[in-house]
Amino acid sequence: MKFDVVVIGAGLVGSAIAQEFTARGQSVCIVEKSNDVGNGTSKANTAIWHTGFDAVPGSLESKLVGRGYFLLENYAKQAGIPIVKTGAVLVAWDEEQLASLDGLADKAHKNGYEKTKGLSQSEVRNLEPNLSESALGGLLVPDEGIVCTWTTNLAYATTAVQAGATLYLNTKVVGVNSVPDGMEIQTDTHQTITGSLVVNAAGLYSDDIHRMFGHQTFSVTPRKGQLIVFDKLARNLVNHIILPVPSSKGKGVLISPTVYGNVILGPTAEDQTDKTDTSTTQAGFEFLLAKGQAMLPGLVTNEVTATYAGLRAATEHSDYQITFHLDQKYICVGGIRSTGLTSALAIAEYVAEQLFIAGHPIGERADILPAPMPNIGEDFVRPYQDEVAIAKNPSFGEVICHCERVTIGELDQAFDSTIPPCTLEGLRRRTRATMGRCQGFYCGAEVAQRLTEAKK
Amino acid sequence: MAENVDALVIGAGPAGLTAAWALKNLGIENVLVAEREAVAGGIPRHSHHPGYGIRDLHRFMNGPSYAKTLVTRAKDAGVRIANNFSVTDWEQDGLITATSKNGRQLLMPQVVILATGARERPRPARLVAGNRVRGIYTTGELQQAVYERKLPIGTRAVVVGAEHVSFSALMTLNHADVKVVAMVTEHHKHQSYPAFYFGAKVRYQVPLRTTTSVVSVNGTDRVESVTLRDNGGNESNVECDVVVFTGNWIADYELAQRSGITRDSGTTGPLVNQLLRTSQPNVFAAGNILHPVTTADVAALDGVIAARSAAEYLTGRSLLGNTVSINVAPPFTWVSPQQVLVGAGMPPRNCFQLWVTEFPSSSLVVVQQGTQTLFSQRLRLVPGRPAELKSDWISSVDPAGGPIQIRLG
Repeated sequence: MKFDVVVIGAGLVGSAIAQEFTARGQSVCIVEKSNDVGNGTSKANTAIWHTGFDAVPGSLESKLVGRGYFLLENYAKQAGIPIVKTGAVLVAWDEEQLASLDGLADKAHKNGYEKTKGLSQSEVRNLEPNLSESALGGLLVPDEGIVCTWTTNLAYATTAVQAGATLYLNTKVVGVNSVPDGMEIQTDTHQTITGSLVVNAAGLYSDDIHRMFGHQTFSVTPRKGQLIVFDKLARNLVNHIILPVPSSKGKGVLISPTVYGNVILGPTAEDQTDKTDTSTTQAGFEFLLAKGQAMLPGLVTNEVTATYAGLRAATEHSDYQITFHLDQKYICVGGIRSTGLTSALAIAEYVAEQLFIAGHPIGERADILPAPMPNIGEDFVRPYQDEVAIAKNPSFGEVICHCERVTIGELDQAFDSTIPPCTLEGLRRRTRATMGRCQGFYCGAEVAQRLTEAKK
Repeated sequence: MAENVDALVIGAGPAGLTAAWALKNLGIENVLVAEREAVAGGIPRHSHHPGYGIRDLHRFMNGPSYAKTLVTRAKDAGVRIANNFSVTDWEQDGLITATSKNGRQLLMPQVVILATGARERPRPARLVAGNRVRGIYTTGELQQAVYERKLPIGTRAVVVGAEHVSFSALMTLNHADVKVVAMVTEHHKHQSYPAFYFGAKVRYQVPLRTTTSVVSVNGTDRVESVTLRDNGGNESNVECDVVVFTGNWIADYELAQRSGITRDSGTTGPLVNQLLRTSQPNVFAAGNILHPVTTADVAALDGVIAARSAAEYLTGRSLLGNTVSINVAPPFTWVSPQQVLVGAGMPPRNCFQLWVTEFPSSSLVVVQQGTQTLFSQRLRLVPGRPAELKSDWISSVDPAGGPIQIRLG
């Protein structure tokens, strides 16, 4: 098979890039080693929509997060991706942190973000009355928000596929070969895929792919972040994202509302060598619960709905590793950390622009029309609340997952979609079914059976 | 426009069905049961073993037959049961919103009986670390997967918990040809009836590992092992592809919370007096939402009391008076009901349900008001199993004597 562009990795960055090139009339193939899109780092992050206020000024990350912020907002509104501008409050818990707030405001300014506002102790208390007494002051970042990372990734990939991109799941790249008119990709499914251009968006494995092309300019050290998701009844304890102030004691943990109506606490930051180890640990839970208790005492007495761990693709460099090797028909888009959720669209745009500047034929860009996504966020009308949707299709009135209020209509919609789920986990990410407080006590068996039947 | 109903019962399990049936028998005209599942009957529908109906129907039947009997009895009495009918919102003014195939519906009931039951805490709520993999169940999900959905389960299971429901999980696993390689409890012995345990031990040859906790569930795609820790701190791995988390009950209190009624921190369910009235005069509760958990027949019999109290409210005969609260001292974690309305009769089955989470040092239970001992009784106190404290003493409660305390003697 021969394509104009072969993208390795169907995470947020790979899917956004695939979408960008299909919009430019290129033939695109996405090669993904796992069984679903958005199944690595893209699925297990803090799901924060960043302004980029605390990036390293002047860095590529700073530029792309700043630009991506607006691109994502606009795209999410068109696609129906749950996104909410909650605002964030950086809270200082000791004198050292308090003293560094001015510096952070200054840094935000250098990153082109002008709307931070210093908060006194009483102003913090007014904004977040449930925080512990030891909050000394803070910095308000009114434009920070939360977004559904799963829907975002699915929207990019779906839009790309609907515009003609080919998606190979369960296909791992095992080698690359230079051929006269491009690069040949060898896979573990014994397919040979040729691209006039190959984009490495392999996330945690971007250094491995980079090495296949003969480059060793960075290595990915997975940094594990464990998180605890609290019950929806905890949601009214916080109004903003509660961000830590980086200090000599480390980066700290955050407390954030989620678009699904829960509250998350985390992440830990644990460097490791294993790129597959996403296990949670008792020590991690104890660390987070102690932090939570110190910050928002009312939180930790709530029931825990879920726990998870994600791996950030951290490298030895502080900035993104986006490099162009056009002699090899190869582009590396590696070292994209958690800010990639916000910046992915800007990264895709940047890659295309740089190619254009380099004189590579990449086609005229048509407007991207995002594929409409089913809403799984609490701040927008859900199908179970939608009189019109139920009248059209009564299965939107049949709630199957009671904790998350997911209807049979939504399951069917996922099964019939462009990129259907092939695992229960994939179905959860598309619909929230079984993701709630009972974790499938009531509906798990029926949901599993419906998935099995849909796959037949 | 909101539909007016005399009585709305939320949940068509044993408690809700019994309450609705009893309301009809008390002459209440318009009784609607809202059931979110496709089939009424509640948890017993999935429990294909005998032992149901003893105290309420005076029969000995399996779960599904019991559920069917209660559904039929309610329908025959003229109760309307709406299936696939999910109550989603409950405003403070009493307006209820529900979703069904017919769309969004508004209901304005004169009285509500909450009978939403209880469920087992799943793995994340117990903060068991490790991987998010396939093959992790609660008993509730397992029983539906095996009996209702006939899904493949696995080959080797570890059962977490050793109380009644854990043995129910054991039977279900046996039915699905899954070998149980270990049953794990943090307590120093199992908490079911000796006969259950010996039966299981002989029949299924299950090794019981006491004073042991589950540290993590491990695997890449599905469960490959669990890591256990004994009370000496020694960790060991047990290979298995299924883990069933049993017991560790929590009331399904979300709606109760939304309606703004007061909840008891011990049971997690609504706080009620012995007539099963909540903090809102027209809202009553029955079943395992009040005491997670008792057997289905005990839950069902709450329904009779809740219905009688609701009917009294509807006919303007609600008793008012002094309320005295009941507190529990450790090792007790809760009592249900938690209030005594002085001069108002007995709680369901003339007893209070008491709960411990540890095997206590004594079996003597003392009920005290101020310095006055009202009552004492020797009870078999086993974690994960309710103990029934006789209620005769409530006739001697002093309305001005302050809170009642239940403690170990």
